Amino acid sequence: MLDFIFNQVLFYLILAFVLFIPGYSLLLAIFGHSKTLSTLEKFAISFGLSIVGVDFIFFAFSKANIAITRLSSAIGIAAFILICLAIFKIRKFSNSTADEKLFSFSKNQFILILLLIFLSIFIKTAYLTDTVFPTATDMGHHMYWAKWMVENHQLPTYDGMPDFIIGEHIIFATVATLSGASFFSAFPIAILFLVNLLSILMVSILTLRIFKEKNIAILSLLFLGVLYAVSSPQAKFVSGGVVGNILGNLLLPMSFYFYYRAFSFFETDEKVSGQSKTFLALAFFSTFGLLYTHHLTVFIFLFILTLIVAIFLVLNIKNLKNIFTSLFKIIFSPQVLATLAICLIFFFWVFTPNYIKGGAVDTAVGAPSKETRAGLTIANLRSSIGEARIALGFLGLLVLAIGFKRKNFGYTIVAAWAIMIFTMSTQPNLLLVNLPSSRIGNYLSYPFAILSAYTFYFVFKNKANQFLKVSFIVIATFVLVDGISDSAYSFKNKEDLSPLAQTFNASTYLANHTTTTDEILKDHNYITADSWMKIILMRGYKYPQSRGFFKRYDDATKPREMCTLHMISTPDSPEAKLCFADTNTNFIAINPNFDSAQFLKLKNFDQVYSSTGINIYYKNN
Amino acid sequence: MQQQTKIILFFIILFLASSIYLFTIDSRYNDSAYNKNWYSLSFVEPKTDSLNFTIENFSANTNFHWELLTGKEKIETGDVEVQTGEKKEIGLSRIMTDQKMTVRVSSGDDIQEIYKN
Repeated sequence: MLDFIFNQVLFYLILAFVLFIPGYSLLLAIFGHSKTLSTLEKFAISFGLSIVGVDFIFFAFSKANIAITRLSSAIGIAAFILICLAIFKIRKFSNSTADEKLFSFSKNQFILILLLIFLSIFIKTAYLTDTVFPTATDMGHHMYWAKWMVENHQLPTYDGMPDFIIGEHIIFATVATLSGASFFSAFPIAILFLVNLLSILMVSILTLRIFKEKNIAILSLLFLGVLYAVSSPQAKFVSGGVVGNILGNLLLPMSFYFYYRAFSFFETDEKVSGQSKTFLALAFFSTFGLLYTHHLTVFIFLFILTLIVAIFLVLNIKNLKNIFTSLFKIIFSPQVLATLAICLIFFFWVFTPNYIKGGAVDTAVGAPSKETRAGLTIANLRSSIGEARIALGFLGLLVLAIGFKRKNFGYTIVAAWAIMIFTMSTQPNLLLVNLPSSRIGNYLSYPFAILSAYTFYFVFKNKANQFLKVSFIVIATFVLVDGISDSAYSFKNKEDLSPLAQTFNASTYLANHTTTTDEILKDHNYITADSWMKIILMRGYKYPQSRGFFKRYDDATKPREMCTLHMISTPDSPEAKLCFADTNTNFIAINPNFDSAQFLKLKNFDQVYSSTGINIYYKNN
Repeated sequence: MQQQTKIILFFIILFLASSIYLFTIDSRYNDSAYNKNWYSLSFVEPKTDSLNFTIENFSANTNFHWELLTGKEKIETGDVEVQTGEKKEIGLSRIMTDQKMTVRVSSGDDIQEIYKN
C-alpha cells in the first residue's frame, strides 16, 4: 500500500514536472504576471506548450548525441524551466489591460461549469474503468516505441516507418523514464485522459474568446465534454490509445487560439500590438509542435488554414491593403522571425519527422484509392459524431453565416474548421485527399460542438416567439437523450480478463525460452492484446511476426506478403513450407479454439505451451 | 479564492481521484481474485527432448492430476498441488522413443495437453 502511495505521488509530481511546469514557465517568461491570459487560459495552455517544449528539448538531445536517461531528462527539463524563470526575472513587463470580465462567471454559471466538468470526468472514468487494461492494438504499437526510447536512451527512427511520429511517444517515454512507471499500468491512459480533458477545456476557452459570451463557452463544454463523452474521438480514443488524435485535438485548438489572438486586432480596427506578434510566435511554435506530433492532424490543419485565409481575405476584400500591411508588421517582427527560424532549424536540421522523409505526404494526396477513402455519407457522419450534434452543427453554420462578423477572425476559424473537415470527410475527391474518411470525420465533433453551442445560445438569447422556443426545447431534450444514450450504449459489459492475462503469460514464456535467433509468429485475429507481446519481447517493432486480419490479405489495392497467413492457416502446405524455410519461423502462438487442429496432426510441430486461450508450437525440424 | 482558481482546483482534484481509481484497478488482470479460471501448462525446455513441465495456476482449483503418455499408452501419473498465483515444475526422466510424448494435466473439468513428437 505504501509503495502504491509513493508511486502515485511520484507519478503526479513527474506529470506536473513534464506536462505543466515547462509550459507555465514559458508563459511566465513571455507574459510575466500580466493579465493578457486569464488563469484558466494559462492552466490549459501550459500543458500544450509543455508537450511541445519537452519535444524540442529531446530533439536537441538527439542532435547533440546526449543519451536520454533519467538524469539527463531531469536536467534538460529543469534547465528549460530555469532559463524561462531567469528570463521572467530579468525582463520588465508592461502592465497589460486585460478583459477580466470575460472570465468572471455568475454564480449559476460557475456551478454549471463545475457540474459539467464533474459529469465529463465521471462518464469518461466510468467507461475507462472497464477499458483501462492494456489491450488496445494502437496503444500497444505506440507504447512499444515509448519503451524502446526508455531502453535505448535515444529517439527512435521507427525503422523508416512513416506512420509513427516522434511527438506521440516522447511524453510517455519521459514520464516512464523519470517515474519508473510500467507501460502495463494505467499511466498511458491517465496521460491521454488528461490531454483529452484539457482539449475540451481549450475548446471552451477558444469559444469564449471568439464569441465573448460565457454561455456559449459553457454550452460547448456540454456538447464536447458531456454529450458523446465516450464515442470517438473522446474516451474511446483514450482507451484505444489513439495517441496522435488525442494530442492533435489539444494542439489544434490551441494553435487556433493563438492565431485568433494574433489577429484579433482586426475586430476592433486597432493597430498591430506587441501582443499580436507574441501570439503569432506562439501560434507558429504550436503549429510546429503539431507537425512533430501527428501527420493527419497537420494535414487537416493545413487544409483548414488555407480555407481560413481564403474566407477571411474574400470577406475583407475591401480591406486587403490594411490586412497585408498589418500582416507584414506582425510577421517581420523579431519575436515571430526568431521563433520561425528556430522551428525551421529544428525541423530541417535538428530533427526531421520521418513522415517527411518517408513520403507519407505523397500517399495522402491523390484520388481515393480505397472504398474507405471515398468519403462518408451523412448517415456515416451521424453515427460518427452524433445525430443531434450534426443537426445542430449545420444549423449553427447557417446561423453563423447569417450573423457573420467578417472582421472577427474567430468566426472565420470556426466556419473554416467545420466546412473543411466536412468536405474532406464527405467529398475527399474534390480536394484530392486519399486518407481514410472516417478518421477525418472524427475531427468534426470539435467544431460542430462549438456550432451546436452557438445555435443553442442564439435561439434562447433572442426573444423569439414561443412556438420556436418550445420547438427548440423539444430538440434540446432529443439532443440530451441522444448524447447521453450514445455514451450509455458504449459501455462494455464487464470483460473476462483471463485472455489478457494468458497473452502476457504466454509472452513471458516466449521471452524466457527463446532468443533473438528464434522467429516467432503470432495471430492477430484471435489472440487478445497480441500487439502488447512485442513490448514484453522488445526484439523489434515487427517482432514477433503477425498474421493480420484476413481481409488484409485480400486487399487488391495493397498486395502484401502471404507467409504469415500460410504458416498458421495451412502449415503443411507447400507455400507454408517455403515460408518456414525463408523466414526461419520456429515458434507459433495461436488461439487453440480456432487454430489448433492444423498443427495437431503434424509431426514436425511440438505443442510446448497450453492454456485455454493460447497454444504455442515449436517447429522441431 | 478566485473563481477560476476554484475551477482549476476542482478539475485537478477530480482528475486525480479518477486517475488514482484507474491505477487501483489496472492490474486486475494479474489479480487472482479476478482471474480464477485458468492455468497454463508448458515444457521447461521447449527445444530439447526433456519432458519436464510447469503448471502455473491462476484458478481457484489447486489440485492437479498429470499423466505422461507414449502414443496413447499411459506410462506415468501423479498428483500435484499448486496454489493460486504460483507455479510448480515437475521433473520427468527422458524416454528414448520415436512415439509422440504427451503430458496431460487435468484440474476439475479442465484438461490441457502439451506434447513432443
